[in-house]
Amino acid sequence: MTTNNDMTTAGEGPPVLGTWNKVYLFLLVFQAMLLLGFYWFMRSFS
Amino acid sequence: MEALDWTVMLATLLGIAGYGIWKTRHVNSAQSYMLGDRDLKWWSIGLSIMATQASAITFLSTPGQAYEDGMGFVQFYFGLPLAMIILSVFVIPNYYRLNVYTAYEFLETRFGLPTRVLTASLFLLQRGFAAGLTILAPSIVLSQIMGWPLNWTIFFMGIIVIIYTVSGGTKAVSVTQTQQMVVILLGLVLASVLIILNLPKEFTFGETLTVAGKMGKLNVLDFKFDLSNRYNFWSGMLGGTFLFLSYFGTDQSQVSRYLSGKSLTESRLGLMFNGLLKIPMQFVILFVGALVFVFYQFNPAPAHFNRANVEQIQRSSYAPAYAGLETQLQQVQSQRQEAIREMIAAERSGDVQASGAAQTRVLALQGEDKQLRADIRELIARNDKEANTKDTDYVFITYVLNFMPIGVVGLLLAMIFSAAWSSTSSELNALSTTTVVDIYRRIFVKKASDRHYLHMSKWFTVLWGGVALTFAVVAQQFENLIQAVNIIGSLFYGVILGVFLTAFFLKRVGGRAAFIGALIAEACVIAIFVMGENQFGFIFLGKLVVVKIAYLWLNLIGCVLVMGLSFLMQTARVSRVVK
Repeated sequence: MTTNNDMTTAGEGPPVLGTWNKVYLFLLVFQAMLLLGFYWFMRSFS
Repeated sequence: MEALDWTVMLATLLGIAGYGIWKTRHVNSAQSYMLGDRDLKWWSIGLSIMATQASAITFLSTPGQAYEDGMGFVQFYFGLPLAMIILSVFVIPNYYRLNVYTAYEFLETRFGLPTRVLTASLFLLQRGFAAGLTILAPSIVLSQIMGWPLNWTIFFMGIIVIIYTVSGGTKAVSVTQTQQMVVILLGLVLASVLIILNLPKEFTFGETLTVAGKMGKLNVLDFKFDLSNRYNFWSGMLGGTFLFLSYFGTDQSQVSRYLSGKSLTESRLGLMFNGLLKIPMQFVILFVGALVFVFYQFNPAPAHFNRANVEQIQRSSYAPAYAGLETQLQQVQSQRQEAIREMIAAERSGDVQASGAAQTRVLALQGEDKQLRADIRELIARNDKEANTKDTDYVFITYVLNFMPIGVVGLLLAMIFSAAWSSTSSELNALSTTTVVDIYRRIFVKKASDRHYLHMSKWFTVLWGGVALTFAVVAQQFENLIQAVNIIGSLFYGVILGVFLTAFFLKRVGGRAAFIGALIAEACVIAIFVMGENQFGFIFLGKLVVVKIAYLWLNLIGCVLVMGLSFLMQTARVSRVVK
């Protein structure tokens, strides 16, 4: 079997938001907003 | 089903399968077959990851779950975004650095061959079983509801996916999954819009949601901490995080998806894409179920959604008793409609007291409805002890067949088949890759040509496809299909994850301690599950203590046990050596 040695592993930043930490934070904030939305949804119609 | 539905369904499915075979006709190396030339972009990885996880059961069972118990199941996915982040930070960079084909390959560099083979075998065991269930579950539902013979449905469900997966390997899986996911998302949006358009015109959309909410179907969040409750915020955030860490980080059917990425960045973005969209997607699927529930408040709902069970009982000596219950149910439904109208009228006029009184009446009638349905299930079970009386998996498909326009029915059936194929193809490909890389090449035939491993990969795909089809044909039915898959996963995932986390974070622990720790932990997890299921217990301070823990927590328990036991054994071993 052949192996692929040209895989990039280091020094890669995300294409948006500048750093990976900001991307992760964005995802967490998005989830928090989603949960707030769910809470509002549940309270509004019950 | 009309001719147009058949045309739409077969053209969609065969078109995607044919395109997959044609597009991957030049795959001629083992690496290309198993890792697909590592050229996928993030959106393709993301869609592929989502398609692998979303099986046909997702679309058959989940709306039915919302119809029956409300939308609380969405909490099951709350740990997923956090798991995606942890994997992006700690796990994927290691896989890329070591340039591995499978997740278990990584373990050998850390703990040696026995631990690699153990975890690969646990994966093969549980995923091989789950692959059969992935084919069987939707086949049962479709055959019963469409009147198709079960074995032919299983055959159609399995054979085409085996052909294109054998033909193009992981590349064929990715190519077809992207298109299958487009069909799935399109079908989902279309189904949601059409259901909304079918809702009673006398109410606004907000009012129909109020009906669902007041009848307990929009209970998205439950913050009460209860270990025996399957779906609440805490089990989703804690147990769910561990389940998804294990599923996405150590299950080869998912690992192979993101290892096919062009670079580490593309793989990470693929996971972020999944973290962003998965919860909203599940919310929409559950929401569809809640809307179907509202629809059936104003339209005659079948007394039992599994048509095959109904036909059987109507031919039996229980037919008069069934007819009696059906009539009672119709009366309750009509009284409930009236009560709901009163409730909405009171809401419109702002009369809180009248609304509350009407709600109480609606809920009481709903309780009567539930009881009558339970009586019907009991009647079905009395008539045929083998009959699967749980009919929630039939709710959505019944609605689709009875109320969706011609052509759309074909597309929605194509959506269900696409979901089945997308997860089955990933599973078969992962089973074959793991068998070749972690067992066959590592233990039996260590040095052979690339062509040999390519051929063996294809043969193992055929073999696992055969195993899955055989299992699907001979297996017994499960009470709830989606839960059965998740329970089986939870029995093994926690332990596998524990081994990986020990490898990543407990640097002092060696291979022997990890291996024995994993074996003991697996035995404990199975024991806890069996004890809970069979109400076994132990005497503590003169009292019988029964351990009943919801299955999501088994992931956490298995993981913590492996880490704790291997750490303790390593520490004991070191102190013995020092003495």
